[in-house]
Amino acid sequence: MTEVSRTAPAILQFARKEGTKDVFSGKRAYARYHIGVSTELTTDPANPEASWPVVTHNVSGAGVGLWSTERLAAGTAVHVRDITEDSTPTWLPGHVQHCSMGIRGYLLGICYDFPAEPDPVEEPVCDESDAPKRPSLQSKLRITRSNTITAQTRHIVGGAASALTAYIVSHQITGQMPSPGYFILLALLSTLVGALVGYLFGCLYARVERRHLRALRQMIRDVSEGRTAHPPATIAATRDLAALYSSLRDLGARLRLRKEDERLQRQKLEDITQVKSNILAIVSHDMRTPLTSILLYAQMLLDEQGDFDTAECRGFLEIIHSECTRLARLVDDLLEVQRLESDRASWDIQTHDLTETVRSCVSVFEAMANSKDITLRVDCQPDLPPIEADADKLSQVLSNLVSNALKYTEPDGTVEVAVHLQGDDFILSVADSGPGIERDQWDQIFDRFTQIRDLNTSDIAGVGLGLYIVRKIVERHGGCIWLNSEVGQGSEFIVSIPKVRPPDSKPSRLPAFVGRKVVVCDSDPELAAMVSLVLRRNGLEVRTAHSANRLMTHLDHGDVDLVITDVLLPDASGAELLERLMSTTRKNYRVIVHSYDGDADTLGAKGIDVFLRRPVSQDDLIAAVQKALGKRSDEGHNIVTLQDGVIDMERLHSYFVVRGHTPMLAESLEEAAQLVQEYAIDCVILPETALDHEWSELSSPPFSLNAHTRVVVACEFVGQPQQELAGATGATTVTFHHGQELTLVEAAVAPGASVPQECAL
Amino acid sequence: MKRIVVVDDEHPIVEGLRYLLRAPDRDIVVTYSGDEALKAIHEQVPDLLITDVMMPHMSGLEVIATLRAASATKHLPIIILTAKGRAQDTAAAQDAWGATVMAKPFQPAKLRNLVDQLLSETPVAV
Repeated sequence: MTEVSRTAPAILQFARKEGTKDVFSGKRAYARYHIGVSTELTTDPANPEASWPVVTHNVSGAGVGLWSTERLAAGTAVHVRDITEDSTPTWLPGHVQHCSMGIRGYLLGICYDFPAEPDPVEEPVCDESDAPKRPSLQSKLRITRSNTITAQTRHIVGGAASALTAYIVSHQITGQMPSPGYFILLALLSTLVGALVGYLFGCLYARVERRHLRALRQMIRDVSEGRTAHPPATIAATRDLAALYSSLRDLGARLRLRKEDERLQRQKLEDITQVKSNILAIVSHDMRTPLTSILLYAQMLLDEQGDFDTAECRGFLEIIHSECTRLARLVDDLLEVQRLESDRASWDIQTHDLTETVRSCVSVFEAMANSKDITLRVDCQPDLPPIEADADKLSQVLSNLVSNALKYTEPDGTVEVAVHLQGDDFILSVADSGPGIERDQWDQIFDRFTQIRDLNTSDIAGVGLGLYIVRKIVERHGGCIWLNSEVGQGSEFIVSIPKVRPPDSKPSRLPAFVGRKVVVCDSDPELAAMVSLVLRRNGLEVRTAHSANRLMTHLDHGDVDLVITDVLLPDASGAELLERLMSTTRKNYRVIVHSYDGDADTLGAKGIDVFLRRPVSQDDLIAAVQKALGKRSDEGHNIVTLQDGVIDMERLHSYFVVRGHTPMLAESLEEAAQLVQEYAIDCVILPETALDHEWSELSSPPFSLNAHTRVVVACEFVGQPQQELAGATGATTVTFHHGQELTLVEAAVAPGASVPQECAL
Repeated sequence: MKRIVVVDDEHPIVEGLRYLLRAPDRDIVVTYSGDEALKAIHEQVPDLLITDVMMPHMSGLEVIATLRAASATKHLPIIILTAKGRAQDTAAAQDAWGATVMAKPFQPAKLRNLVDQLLSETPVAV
């Protein structure tokens, strides 16, 4: 290792011993340690005056986070020196990746510039256990021999041969039955000859066995390190050896399976931990704020009661009271959120009259509106049909919206509640004449826990969790909520709920993409909400944005798979937006442009995956999403799997997704054929049953597999008929048992010939 | 006459601080956002700034960074009141920003004493 890279592991080691663990402060990519190691930082290593002390915050494999009192722009070249070394410390070159503000100063993320690793010395071609050579005639003979003769037979043959040799020789020498003296001598001679012959035979077989031992050792090494274990290409010497090979291979597969499952579990756990820590951070902040006021005013009343007049004292007590109420409501909201999230909330869906619910709910707020001189109006469309929903939960939604509206509206303002029917949906709106809400906060306001937050600036204080709860309730009813607002003029919260609640268990029309993350961006919040609703109903996770800035924030922070955006956004021109979308360094998301006009070809040339012309139908939208997400990515493969009872599709798909591939599920052979026709498919995985009567369909149009598409057939037993069929059609047969989905994954994505390979048995 | 600027987006807290720290020789200026605070400080440099961290649009730390960058306010005594953060950050903030950190909810008596102490240390502004 070079001198430069020696110091970084030393810091890491020091950190592991001396650092304190802080689970909530580190991001996933970094080691979760607060270290506190003093180091030095400089932009000019030649100038001894130009360095200043910094404190290490965390360390990762490629860099270090430092607290600094000075600010440095991203991209600045710096040098870091570890001043805890006793020997002369060297400056490590690096550059600033990011600089953000924190309570301890500026947090700099420094990436080390390690020198390039020297080229590895070319190793000589290694021994025969690696690459299988084409068997020569000699080895073929050896193999034939070894197939027929076992170890015991060897010894017997050797012994018999030597005895026979001894008799023949002795007969030739003496011409008659040998005398006892000669016999003893000849016995010794024959033993020697026999031993020699046996030894020669032994050497022959030992070579073969040694090769197998080497292969076995390599397999064991592969298994223990988690790699795929391959038995050697030559057929095994004995049935025992062959069984050993297959057991080792199965062991390897099982271990890798367990590792995969562990990896998925760990991922899930990390996600949950992140959400939990977000909740805790928000909650602790939201609880401390009212507590501060309560403590402050209570203390002042206790200490200096005499200094304040009655009016002031009363004012203090009122503040204490309202802050206590705020705390109580926060606790209630938290419990409600917990109940909603864990799906333990009980839903009492009844058909009832919406007008009645709305009027009785709003009447509760009349007193409050009067005391603030706010005009509270209710405008219900006459003769509204009944709605199928949970009346209590809907009341909760309305109460929340109305109380917020009243809270934020100045005296002499208005709050208007309106209900009308639009097609098959009820539209409920609550409009106020308050200060309005900024566009960039329109999506944040409904999503407090899982959303990205700039950790030093707060979102709208005091709104609480109410809107998150409102959104959850609305979505559970199959509806959606959005916000329209003009800063300085007021806000309107609009809820759309279908007349009849859609069934929970409707299957998704995008089964291959359930769980994928989408960002829908549009300056019209209603349209964004509608598009989101369609996608959410099909199992995708959707976030919304209403400006270019907000869209970029989502992309910077999240794991986004697809962006659906209009090009006319209020804070960026169409060309600017496209440039920003296409130029981000880690572009691993697909883009659909959804606009009134545009040219699919020019957009396609710029890198846009699909162009949707407005107005667009639900079917077109779903087809576009299918097309965009199904496109071949640079790294991953597109794989079609056919639904089958034996293969665990969910697990198989998750294995593919984790490796960066795109699996698509087809319900029937026709559907699979369609997918193959429409997309660039790398591999099709079929169950054994497909080899039956429908096989001829696969190799003829419209299925027409191209030369690049592998076909992998999962068979329980690869016998003669399967092999023949596979050989005829160029498919790969893979022995598959329940629980061994990983073997299918490897067969699907392994680069290689399309000649039928079979696992040695 | 000592001038104190207080900034926090929570109205009850700011008003409460005004009551808590009042004294005949003190002029307490209350503001509710980073912009307002900077404007007030620009009008007349105060003897002490008390600020929250989490505020919409401009965080308390941004305010402090702006002030520390200007020569007039480079050595201005600052108290940070924050609902986030832990004890470890207290000493660190002292080094980084030259500010004292008090976690919310704070003991009002402690804050009052700290303010008295900081104000008595300030030399008369020239």
